Amino acid sequence: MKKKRQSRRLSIAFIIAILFWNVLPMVTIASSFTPGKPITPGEVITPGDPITGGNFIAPGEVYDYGKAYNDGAPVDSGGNLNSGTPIIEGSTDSDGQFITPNSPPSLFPILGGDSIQSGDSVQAGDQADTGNAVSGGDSTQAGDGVQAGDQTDAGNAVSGEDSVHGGTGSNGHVPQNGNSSNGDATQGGNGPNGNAAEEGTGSNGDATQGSNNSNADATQGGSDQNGHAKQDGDGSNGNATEGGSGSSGNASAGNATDAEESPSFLNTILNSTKKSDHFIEKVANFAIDVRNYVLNLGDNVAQGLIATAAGFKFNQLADGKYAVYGKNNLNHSIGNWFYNRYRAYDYNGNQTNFGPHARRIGEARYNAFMQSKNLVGTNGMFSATVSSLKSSMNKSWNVFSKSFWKPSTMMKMGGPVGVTLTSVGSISEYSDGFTDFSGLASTDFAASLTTDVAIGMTSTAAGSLASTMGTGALAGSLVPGVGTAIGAVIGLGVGFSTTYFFNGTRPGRKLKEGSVTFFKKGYDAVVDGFNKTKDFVTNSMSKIGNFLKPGG
Amino acid sequence: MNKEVSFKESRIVGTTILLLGTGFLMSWVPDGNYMLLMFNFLLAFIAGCLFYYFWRTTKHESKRYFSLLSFVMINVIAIHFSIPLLRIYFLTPTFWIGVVMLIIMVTLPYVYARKIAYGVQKPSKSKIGKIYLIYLGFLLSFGGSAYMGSLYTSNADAITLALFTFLGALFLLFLAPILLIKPEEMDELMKK
Repeated sequence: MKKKRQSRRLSIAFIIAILFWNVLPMVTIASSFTPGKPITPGEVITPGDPITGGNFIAPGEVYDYGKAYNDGAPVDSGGNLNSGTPIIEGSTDSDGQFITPNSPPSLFPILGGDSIQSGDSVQAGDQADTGNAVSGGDSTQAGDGVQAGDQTDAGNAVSGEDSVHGGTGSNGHVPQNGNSSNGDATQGGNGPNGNAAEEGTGSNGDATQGSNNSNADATQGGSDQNGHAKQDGDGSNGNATEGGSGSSGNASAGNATDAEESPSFLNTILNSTKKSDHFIEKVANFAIDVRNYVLNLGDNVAQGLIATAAGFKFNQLADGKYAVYGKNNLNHSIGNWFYNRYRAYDYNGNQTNFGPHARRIGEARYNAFMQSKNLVGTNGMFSATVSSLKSSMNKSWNVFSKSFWKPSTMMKMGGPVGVTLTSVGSISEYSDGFTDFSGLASTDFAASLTTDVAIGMTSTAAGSLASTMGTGALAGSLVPGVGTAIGAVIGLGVGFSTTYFFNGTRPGRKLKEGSVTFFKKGYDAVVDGFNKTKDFVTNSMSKIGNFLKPGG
Repeated sequence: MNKEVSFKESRIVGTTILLLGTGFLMSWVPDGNYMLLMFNFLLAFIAGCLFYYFWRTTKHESKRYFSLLSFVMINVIAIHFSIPLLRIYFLTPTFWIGVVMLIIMVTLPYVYARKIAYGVQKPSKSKIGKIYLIYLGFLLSFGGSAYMGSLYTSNADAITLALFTFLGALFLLFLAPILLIKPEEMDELMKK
């Protein structure tokens, strides 16, 4: 029964895990939505037919005058109000008698109803057509073209007259201008148009035919914009360099709008979803994922959690010794495997573990255990921090350490395997996707790789340090077991943000670039020195050879 | 374990340095901000003063002392960790949802502090404990893989980082109140 219940619980946990992973990709996909196409302007709203006038509204019958209010007398009685100051003005109310004539004016507006016919001026609402100016608002798309407008300046530089063409060029309808006599103008026009891509190349061809030197220059300016600069530019004029310089800025801005290059959320989480050019890179990325998800984190977290669940803990006794609590064995064989590995530790360089019946240990063993689990013993924070730092660095990065080459480290793909995996990206970049390995001999590659590894080491160190500090503070508290979890979260946060600092922020990137050039200079100096020595030796040898030559 | 804590063992300096470190790093996400940096440092210094005050008053009860120190440390780190996401999504719906989540996570765990304390230490016997373990597992695998990914690609993503630290902050806030429970009460709780 117990087993059944356990397996039911396990299966529920798995279902929750699978559900979670199903939801996460949805969120990540949502984050990678790319902007849709810009809305192309609709057709111009043609004005409707004018409203044909209906029948004129015949004026109604003339109202007969009502009887005049002869009883203006009460108004006079308003004169009583004269007692108040404002009411003095009230006397002007006596003019209210005009109210009576008001009735005739009421007739006039009705006649003026004809002016409603002049409501034809509502047709002048055709000015809504001038709302087409709104479609001109599409020129906001061509806003990219505004950058290209700089190139029209370049065109102007060629000849004052062309600037006029540049003006015409601002009309999006380049091809017409291009075919027209002003081949120059066309090119200038290509600049401001975002649509330049197609039209620009076309017009360039025309321009070269146009045979005006100044025009030809302008063409190149235009063509550069389109990114086709190299072909056209090189063909027609050496001046292309001018246009090229102008356009290159615009071209990069154009690429920037394609947000496809930025890594998606999913890519950041799963290496194997990255767009890799080469099969080897794909395999390496998949291996990295397996290492991250299955071997490292799964193993460590499972060990810690199972040990906590089994009640494994220490308690200091009055005589300075430590009592060991916790179940001897777990019923579940897999659980037991994790539990036993959690109880294993390094003691004076030897791998040992707390057996099922270890119940009372000395302080040295207690410290050794705490340190090998990255917890803190009684030796004080500094030594524990340093030792945990050393072990994590050795396992991951130090080629000269024994544990770097250990099979168990390699099993987790730390050590040499990890370093190889880290290098795959740089190697691929500098070997043109594993096809041309000559780039690997460059000092650029060596400097870039060194810097990447150094950043990896720094962030590992920072994360490990923070983790140890956080865990250590909690080790003495009410809930020492929770310290592992909190330390892990803090360590990850610090390590992650350290990497971000070096790769994602401006001062960090400057530091990184600085160290790349620093390493490169160093390597160059070494290579240079080697070459000089080599030359010296070769020269000396040839001299000696010449000297020894018969008759030399 | 209730021995007296010497200043050397008190972790006052080390923990303050840790808080200065997290404050520094978090004020660079997504980009540097000196005002925020000053604020984060100020928070760390205040925490340092509190540590010293705790040490003066409770150094004879090591468990109580380290619990209080951890409580302040966890809260300050949670504040540092939650700021990047709020900065990136400032005044958008995400920002407000984030604020609501933080408010709930700051208040609610105090109500359930005892249940959480029991659950965290005996996860197999409590629902809260199981939820805690599952959340922790996902949090670590998410953060770990994203971190390793950023190492391999040399291209850390500010949003992923901010998301992880925000989730981490919620986790820390969830655990913080249990450190305020007095040692005697905790012993009684665990006997249940």
